[in-house]
Amino acid sequence: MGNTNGREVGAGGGGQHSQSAVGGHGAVGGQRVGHPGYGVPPPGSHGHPQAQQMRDQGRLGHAPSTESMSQSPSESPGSAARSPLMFTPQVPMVPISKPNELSLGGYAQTQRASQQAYYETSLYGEPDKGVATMIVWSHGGGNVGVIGSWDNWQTRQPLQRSGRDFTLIKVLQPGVYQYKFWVDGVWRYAHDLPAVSDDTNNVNNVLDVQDYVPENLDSVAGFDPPRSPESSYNDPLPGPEDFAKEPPTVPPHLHLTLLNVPQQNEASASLPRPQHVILNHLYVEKEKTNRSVIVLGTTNRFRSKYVTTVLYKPLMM
Amino acid sequence: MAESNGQVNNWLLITKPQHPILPPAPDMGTPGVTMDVDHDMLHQPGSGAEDLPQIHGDVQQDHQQVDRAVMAESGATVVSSAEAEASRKNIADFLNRHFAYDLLPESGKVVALDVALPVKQAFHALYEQGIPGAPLWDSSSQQFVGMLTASDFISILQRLGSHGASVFSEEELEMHTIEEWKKEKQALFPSASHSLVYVGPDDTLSHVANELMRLDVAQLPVLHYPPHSHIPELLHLACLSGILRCLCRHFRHVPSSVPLFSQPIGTLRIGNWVSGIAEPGSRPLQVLRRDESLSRALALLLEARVSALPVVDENGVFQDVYARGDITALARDSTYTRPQLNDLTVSQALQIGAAQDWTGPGPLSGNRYHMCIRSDSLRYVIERLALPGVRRLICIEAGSRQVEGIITLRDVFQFLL
Repeated sequence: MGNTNGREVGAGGGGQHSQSAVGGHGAVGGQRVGHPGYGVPPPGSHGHPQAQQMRDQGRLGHAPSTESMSQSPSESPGSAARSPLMFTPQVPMVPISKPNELSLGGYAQTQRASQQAYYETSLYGEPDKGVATMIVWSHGGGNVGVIGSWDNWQTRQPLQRSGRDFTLIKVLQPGVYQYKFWVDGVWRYAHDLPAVSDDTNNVNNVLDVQDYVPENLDSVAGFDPPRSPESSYNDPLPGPEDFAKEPPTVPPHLHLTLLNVPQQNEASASLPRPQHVILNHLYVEKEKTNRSVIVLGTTNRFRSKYVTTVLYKPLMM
Repeated sequence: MAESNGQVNNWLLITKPQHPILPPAPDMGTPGVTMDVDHDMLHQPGSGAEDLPQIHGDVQQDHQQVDRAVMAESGATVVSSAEAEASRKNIADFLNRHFAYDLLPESGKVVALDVALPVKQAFHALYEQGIPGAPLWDSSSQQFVGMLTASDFISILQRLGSHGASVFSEEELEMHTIEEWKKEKQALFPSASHSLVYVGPDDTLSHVANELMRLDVAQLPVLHYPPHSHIPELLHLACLSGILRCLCRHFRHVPSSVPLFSQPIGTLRIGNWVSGIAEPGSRPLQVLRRDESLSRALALLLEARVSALPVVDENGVFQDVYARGDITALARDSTYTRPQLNDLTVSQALQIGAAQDWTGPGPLSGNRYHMCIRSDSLRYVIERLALPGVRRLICIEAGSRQVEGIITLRDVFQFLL
């Protein structure tokens, strides 16, 4: 596979961390199997033995379509896995992950570790992990500092000058903070950034650190689908001989439905961000016994968030 | 100033007006509380080279000094009514400026049940998914028509039990579909409204909170109707806990906006307390003895119109909590079909869910209850209630673990709104 320090291609962009998966060769591999611009995470790339184990479990069954890239080298150090950072002020950035972070999850090393690891790398920001945030002052001055509610207004930190702007990167827990700039001896606030004034006509800037990066939907819209192949919709309906045949195999990335994510203890723990490929597909629960109830599931996008809906329906005999 | 027990507290005053205002910051020694209590320690801001961030000291309230001296040693402070008003105003502003869309997690899951599903399968589904309730979907009309919750299960059990049969066979419950149950419910409770109530993703959080309080329900579906379509999309089930979580997240790092949160709950009119401590005229708290029968527990839950009761042993020492949602644990092994249902004691019912071999999700997994003591601050209580799955805090006496009161999400919202 050669140099896997590739960056996101096509549908990458600022927010697409989840597609880069492990080692960053998702995009590169994706091109090989003919999915332009898609970050197809190669679950098999963790090594064959694990993929075998998962198949035997019968639950996840990642099909070996990634054979072609199964000879991928071990995960390269984490910095390659993330897409190039876009420095928009106060947009939370991806933390630079250390080499050993990728192979662990917070979860136990079970047989499902490789799928877990996939979900882990697409979730950055576990509850106690800080998010690197950039604070910018672009209104001139000689000496600029910032003081904020993150440490209860105790310390004033200087900002680094870069050109005409002053910047500082802080690692903060997700939450809402207030802060203020100290510019050449005067306390000021940036009027182009979100601010709030309290009861004494004191205005502070407000920083809202999210624990996830909202998807950059523009980059998704920029995806150009290939032209449809020449064929018509006038094919005859399937007859009994068609139903007797085995159905074509499901593309392996559709197995990454969130419905297979092991249930967390708290009912309202949220799921990892889904791959776009599984959206708007209808899934059926694997039939355990001859039940009279059928369980359907689907994942859809609503604005920038994802909703996985599960419906229990009775089977009419 | 020196307190009576020798601790020395420092109070700093504001001078310059352009700095953020902070609540009084006494310098605490280690208080002598034995329980595992987190303290809301307010640090004294350090001084910068030239500028001192200031603190606002509310020193003119002499009549509150005594209270402060007592409360100060446990790590919480008393605030003035002006600060309380300011806190409430900030909270109201926040709720008006954020919308139900903010309650949605980035990637969330909702479960819906078809109305034609038999009741038995429905409760097994609720148990499997580990949720207390689900919206009901009618495929013929392509609409959501209501919610199915644990209260429904309790009512069904009571009704079928009162028909004389001490054993309800599985077939009976299997034949009964949710739709039929809804019709029966309408006949049983003609005064209650039975149509679907929901909120949209662009409704403000204060609207959602008010609806939840007004209807006295735990969850409201968030539905989105795409333009030019009558078919709704189910997005989320909004609950008070989710709103509280948003609130916490927003105000966690700006304690100066809500000084009310530093006040200890014992001094606030919030929650439900036992008869010794409760305000005269309010309804005292009921507790369940653990050897009482399950049917008595269910009757008490319905009669007191609460969602959970503390369970105590013979000496009144706090043991556990029995909540309405725990009734779905009876779906395990179809316990509800056993003839001795009425004789099951509360402690046995709790053990069913806590059995070692069940490792799946459910209302009985994880932390079942959280405790606090009367001198804990409101912030401590709110942070605990904001955890997912926690709907109430049991207030106990520090030494003896006797139950003193319960504070629920609803109580907190009633107090804050």
